[in-house]
Amino acid sequence: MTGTRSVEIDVDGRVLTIVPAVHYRVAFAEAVNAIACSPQTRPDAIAVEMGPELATVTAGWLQEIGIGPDRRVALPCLLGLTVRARYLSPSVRERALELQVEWGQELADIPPEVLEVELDYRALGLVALSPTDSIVEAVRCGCELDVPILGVDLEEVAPVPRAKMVVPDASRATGRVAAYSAEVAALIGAEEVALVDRRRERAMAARLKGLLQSHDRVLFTCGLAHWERVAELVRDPTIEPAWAAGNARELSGRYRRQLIHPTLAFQFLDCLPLVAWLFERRRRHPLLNPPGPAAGPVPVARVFDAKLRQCVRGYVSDKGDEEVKEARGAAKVGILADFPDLVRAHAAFGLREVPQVGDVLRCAKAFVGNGFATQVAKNMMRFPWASPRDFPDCDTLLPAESRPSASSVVLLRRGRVLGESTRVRGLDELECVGVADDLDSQSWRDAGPKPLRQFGISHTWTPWERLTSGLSDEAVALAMRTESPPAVEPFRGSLQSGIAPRETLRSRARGEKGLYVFGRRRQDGDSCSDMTEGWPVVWIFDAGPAAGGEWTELGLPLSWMTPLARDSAAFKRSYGRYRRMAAIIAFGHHRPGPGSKISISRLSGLLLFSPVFDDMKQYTRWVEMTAGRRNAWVRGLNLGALPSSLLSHCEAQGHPVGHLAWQHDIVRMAIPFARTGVTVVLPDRFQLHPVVQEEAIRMGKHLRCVSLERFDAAEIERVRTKQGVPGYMSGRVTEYPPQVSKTIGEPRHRYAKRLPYKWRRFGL
Amino acid sequence: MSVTQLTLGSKSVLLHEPYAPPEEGDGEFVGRIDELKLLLTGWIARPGKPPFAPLLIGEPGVGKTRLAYQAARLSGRDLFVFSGNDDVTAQELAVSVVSSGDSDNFRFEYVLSPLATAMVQGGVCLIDELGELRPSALAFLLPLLDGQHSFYSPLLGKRITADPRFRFVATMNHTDPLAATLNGNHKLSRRLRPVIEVGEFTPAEIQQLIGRRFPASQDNPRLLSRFWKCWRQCNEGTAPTPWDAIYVFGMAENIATAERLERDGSWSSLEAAEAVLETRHIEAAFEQALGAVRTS
Repeated sequence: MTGTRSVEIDVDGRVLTIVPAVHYRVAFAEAVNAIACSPQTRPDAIAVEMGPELATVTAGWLQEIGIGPDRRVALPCLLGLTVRARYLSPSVRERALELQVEWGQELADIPPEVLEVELDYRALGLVALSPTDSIVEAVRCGCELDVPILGVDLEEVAPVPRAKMVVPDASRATGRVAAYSAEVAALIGAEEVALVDRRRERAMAARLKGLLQSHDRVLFTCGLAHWERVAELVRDPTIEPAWAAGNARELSGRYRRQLIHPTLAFQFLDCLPLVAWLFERRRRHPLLNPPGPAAGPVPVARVFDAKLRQCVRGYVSDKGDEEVKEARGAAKVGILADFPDLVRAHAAFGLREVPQVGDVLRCAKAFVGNGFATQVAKNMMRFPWASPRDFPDCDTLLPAESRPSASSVVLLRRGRVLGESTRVRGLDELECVGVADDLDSQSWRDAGPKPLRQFGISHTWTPWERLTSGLSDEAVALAMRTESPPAVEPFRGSLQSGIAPRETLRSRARGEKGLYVFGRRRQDGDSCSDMTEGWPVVWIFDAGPAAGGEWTELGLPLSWMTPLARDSAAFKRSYGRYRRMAAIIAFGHHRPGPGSKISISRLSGLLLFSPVFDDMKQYTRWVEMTAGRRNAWVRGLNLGALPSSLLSHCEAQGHPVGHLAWQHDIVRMAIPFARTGVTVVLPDRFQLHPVVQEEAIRMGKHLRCVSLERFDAAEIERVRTKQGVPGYMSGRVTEYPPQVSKTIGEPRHRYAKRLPYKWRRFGL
Repeated sequence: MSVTQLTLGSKSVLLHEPYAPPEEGDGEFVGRIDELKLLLTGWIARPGKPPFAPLLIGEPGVGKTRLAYQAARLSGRDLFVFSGNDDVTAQELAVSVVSSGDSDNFRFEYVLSPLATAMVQGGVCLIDELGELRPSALAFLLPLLDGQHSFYSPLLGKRITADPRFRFVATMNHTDPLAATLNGNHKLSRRLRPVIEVGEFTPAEIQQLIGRRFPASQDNPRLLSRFWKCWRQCNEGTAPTPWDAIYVFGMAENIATAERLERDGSWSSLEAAEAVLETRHIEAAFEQALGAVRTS
């Protein structure tokens, strides 16, 4: 007997309901669901075209998620199970033997890419647990009905090379699965059946017969290529029923749970993720839904058309600068208006009535441009995807960065790359287009190892960084504005801005032999052409001695910056001999903070070589822009101590660190790293030692002093309190544990705009 | 029968012969299905909607021209190929004047360019290496690509209008400076759509191509195996283009033939000679074509 949704076979008074299916197409999942929901056709056992262990693993995972007879739970998208492939196609047996002779190695030791080319081998097999797949839907219905679920296929089979076949579009099966299957069966019937398939089909038929001995009504769903022969074999009296004791009880652990990245996942959700979402909304729980007519099938073609039009409308109404140009060019030739027709025409070449996301993206990129393709990809992929945070115990499957447009994947376990597989069984037949960059795969790659790394290095707290940098920038601006015209000074070894004739002549007239020079003149554009002018900035908060004060150096490991450099190799060549770049030198007293991991320093003085940037890329640009000459560099591992280069500099100038008061030392440390001058913020009436001035003049640098009293006392007080927080680098920015803000009592976004815009966007 | 002469207004002009690209192997087209579908989609014309002018862009040797040939073949139109270079003037894109006859019967004749011939005959015009054309020649193409489907030839004193069956396609290398402007608002970028990126062949496609060109490789899979092994040794991390593969196998066949002729001592029957290709010939071809190769 044949219904509209299925093919029913009577086997000795028991009913086998077969739903032949095209994988991942919602029409077939709807048919399975309708059969499970109807009291007349509801099965008391489910059989699927999976191996016994795979079926057990799948059902077990769905039950863990909460799918069961008493609950209505949506299936997160997209989960998958991977398995290492062990079998080769029988057709390549001879070649595999030859290959071992040629390479002098076992197959397992021959590079996988060779096996891929020579033997069509795929190392990894993937089963996507897509809600729109009829087999997954059958397992899901089995969990909800609480009936036995049996995988009747062979567990592991060799891949069968199949010729690509053009069959009618699966969207035609909506509401008429049986008729569609019969149409396709006529096309497939002419194909020669591979040996592997014969074995599988006999095994499936025997197991189904076994299952029918203990169950009155069995629902079986399998691929279109098999159902007709399986049905024949089930009717064949010579096929003996296989003992079906249920699925494998002892699991081998071969199947690994995966969370599939949206870039790969969208291919398993009918023609569009939105279709899967709509199916989930309309889907009925076989036991919890009141009896009555089910919601109609998802109108896939209409949904796709509507989404496509929405993409075009969204693009026309919302576009950035670059996209404006592109849209103008495209609109001029009417492409945007015609775009849905173009996509349909493109799909028609593959005899598809409803296009796939891949068709749309290819057309968008080729006919309009990358901006439009990106926007369409984002729009079409809008979907409540499951993230690694939802499934922390799962590995993740991402597209390989190196070949985002091919079906190559990367397997990650807690942020660590387990391996890269160039070809995956299950992905080969599907569209895979390069939308990886648009879908935030970076956050997936970064997910995982944070808890282990978070207490590695102490980071300064972001609000302190922003306030300190903002005030320092103000100090630079004040120092540049208030800089007096060049004074005439006695000659001390440097001609600076030239000989001052008047003062020199007067001196001669007085009978002295002194030579006078002009101090360094401010060059045109000093402040505007080079934004680094005025840095380093030295803050002296205390005029008196600070007994027990300690020097601290805060720096950035070179390894954080090298990958972000414009030319990483050149960057490494230039700075590879150093371990760290010093960014801040602080002098003050340290004490433990309110949380044992947070340290607090009461600062007496501070030297900033540059603004404190939020993004590591900005530091990298700073180094590139200043050729690394504006910071001290650290070779050794002595974290926190003063860099030896600073110590040796001070010593070379005749006054090792500690000979003079710390206020003078901190300014002296800044002098070699200034472009033309150092900005020094110091209390009123505090005088720098003449040695400092002399050192600056000797090095052709200027000291520009600004009074500390010109700044807000409360803000200065905040700058003097520096928190060291256990953080970790997440990509290019620092992340802190979530409770830090509460512990310190200051929101992280405080002083977000204290740093001028030019520095906030610097280098990005 | 193909037309070789045509009267345009009061002038008689000669037409270009269509180009019949050679069939490859058994004639089956390998790979590039998505690109081909895009190209053909671009050529679909509907009432009031002229066909697009697709541009194939990619590295040299990836099969852009071959793709255009295949699209022309599938469209059932004659193919006219114009090779772009910087000597081509704007006028030459439309019509050129050649002298004919002997000294007693000397005369000038107008010859329509492949582009103009394709326009009047409703064929496919492929401008190969569009990026090599000088800006003035590119500017000449603008009205043609603008939907007007016509241009004015001062030499003929006549506007040449395209037949509705006329289709246009161009190829360009990634390295051409013009390629960099295509995503912006360049005057050509608006008109050359779709821009179809033609990427590298997959190893399976290369293998298929070799199999079609050199049937010996299908009989003896060791040849392909040795090819890949040698390729990996010589070119770690890069994929071969079809030309690389065909060149190596062609060279290997030549080496095998030369060996046989030398052995037989009859160099006269060069054309007829057939030799059995062996793995050592592949290695020798690699050594000659791409430098020394280690064969362990």
